[in-house]
Amino acid sequence: MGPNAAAAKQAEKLRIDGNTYFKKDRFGAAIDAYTEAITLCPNVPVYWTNRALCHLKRNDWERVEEDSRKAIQLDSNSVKAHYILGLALLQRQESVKGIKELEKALDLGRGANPKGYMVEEIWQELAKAKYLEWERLSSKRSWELQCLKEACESALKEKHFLDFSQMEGFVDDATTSQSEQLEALERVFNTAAEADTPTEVPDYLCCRITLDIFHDPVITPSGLTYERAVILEHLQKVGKFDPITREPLDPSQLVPNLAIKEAVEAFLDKHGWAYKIE
Amino acid sequence: MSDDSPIVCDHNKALDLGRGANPKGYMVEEIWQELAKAKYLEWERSLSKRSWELQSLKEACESALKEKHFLDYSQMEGFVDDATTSHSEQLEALERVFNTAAEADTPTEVPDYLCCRITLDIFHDPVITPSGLTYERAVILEHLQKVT
Repeated sequence: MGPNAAAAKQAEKLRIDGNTYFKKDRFGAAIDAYTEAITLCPNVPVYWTNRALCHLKRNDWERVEEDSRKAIQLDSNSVKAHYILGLALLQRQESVKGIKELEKALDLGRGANPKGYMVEEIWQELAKAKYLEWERLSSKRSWELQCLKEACESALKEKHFLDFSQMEGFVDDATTSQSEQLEALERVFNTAAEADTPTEVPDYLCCRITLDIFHDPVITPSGLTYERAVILEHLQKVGKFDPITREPLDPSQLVPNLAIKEAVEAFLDKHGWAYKIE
Repeated sequence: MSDDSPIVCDHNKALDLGRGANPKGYMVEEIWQELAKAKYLEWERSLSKRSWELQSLKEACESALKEKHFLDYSQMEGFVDDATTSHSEQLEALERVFNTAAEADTPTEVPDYLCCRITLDIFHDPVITPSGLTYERAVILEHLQKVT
C-alpha cells in the first residue's frame, strides 16, 4: 500500500470517528477529527462539509462559510455545501447571496434526489429566507406608498380648497367630484399594493390534500394535481387509488406538472408573502 | 353577478355544452373563436373608459403636487435643491403607481406556462404528456397522427 493510499485510509477512519463524535454532540472532538482528515487528504469535499456542519452547530458562521466555500471549490455540485453556505450567509445578514446559494442547493438536490428529505429541508429554509426578505422589502414599499398617497390626498384637497374659494356656485358638484377623485385614488393605491397584500393562494396552485402551495406538483390520469410526496404517501399507506376520483392509481402513472410548477414560481416571485409556512 | 354582456354569457353557455358533448369537435373550436372575439371587444370597450379615468386622475394628482410644490417652494429660503429632488422623486413614484394600476390592462407576453409549446398560443384545451410537458390537445393529436 503506497503512502497516498495509507493517508486516504487513515483520513477515512478519522471521518468515521468525527461522525461518531458528531452524533454524540461532541463537536469540538469532531472538528479535530475532520481537521486531521483534511490535513491528510485536503481534496475530499465531504471532510470540509462535515467540519462546516460542526462549526454550524457551534454558531461559528465565519468558519462555516470558509469550509463550505472550500467544499464548493472542490465539488461545485455539492448540495450540502451550497445549503450550508446559504445558511451561513443568511446568518451573516447577506440575504440575497444566501437565498442564491439555497436556490442552487435546491436545484442540485432536486436533480440528484427529488424525493430526498434534504430537498424538503432546503425548501423550508429557502421559504423562510424569502419570506423574511419579502417582509423587509414590503414594509419599505408600503411605507413609501402610504407617504405618497397621503401627499396626493393632501395636494388634491389643498387644490380643491383653492379652487373652491374662487368659485361662486357649483359647490356641491365640486365636492362630489372631489370625493369621487379621492375614492378613485384609494382604488389606485390599493391596486398598487395588491402584490404585497396577503390573500388566499389560488386553488390551482395548491395541493388538494394539504391545501398548501405546490413544491413538486404531479398530475394523475384523471387530471388532478397533487404534491408528489403527499400523493405517494397516500398510495403507500391508504391504497392505490386517486383520493378524489377514487380511480385506480399507480405511482408510475404520476406525471410532473411542469406548467403548474412554473406558475407557482411566477406567483411566488410576485407574492413573497405566499412563502410563509404556517 | 358577472359583468359580462348577454352575448358573452350565451357564448360561455354554448362552449360549456359543446365541451361536454364533444370536446374535440370542430364546433367547440368555432364557439371558442367567437367567444374570444366577443370577450376581447368587451374588454376593449371597458378598457378605454378605465384608461381615460386613470389618465385624468394621474394628471390631477401631478397638477396638484406641482401646485403644492410651487406654493411650498415660494415660501422656502434654502433647501431648494433638496425639495426639487424630492418632488421629482415623488412624481416618478406616482408614475410607477399608476403604471401598476394599469398593468392588468397593458398587453404583454402571455407567460410560457400558459402557452402550447408547438403553436405558442394560449391554451384552450391543455393536455400533459408523460414527460410533464403540456400541449394543446388538437395540436398534439394532429402531430401524433402525422408523425407516428
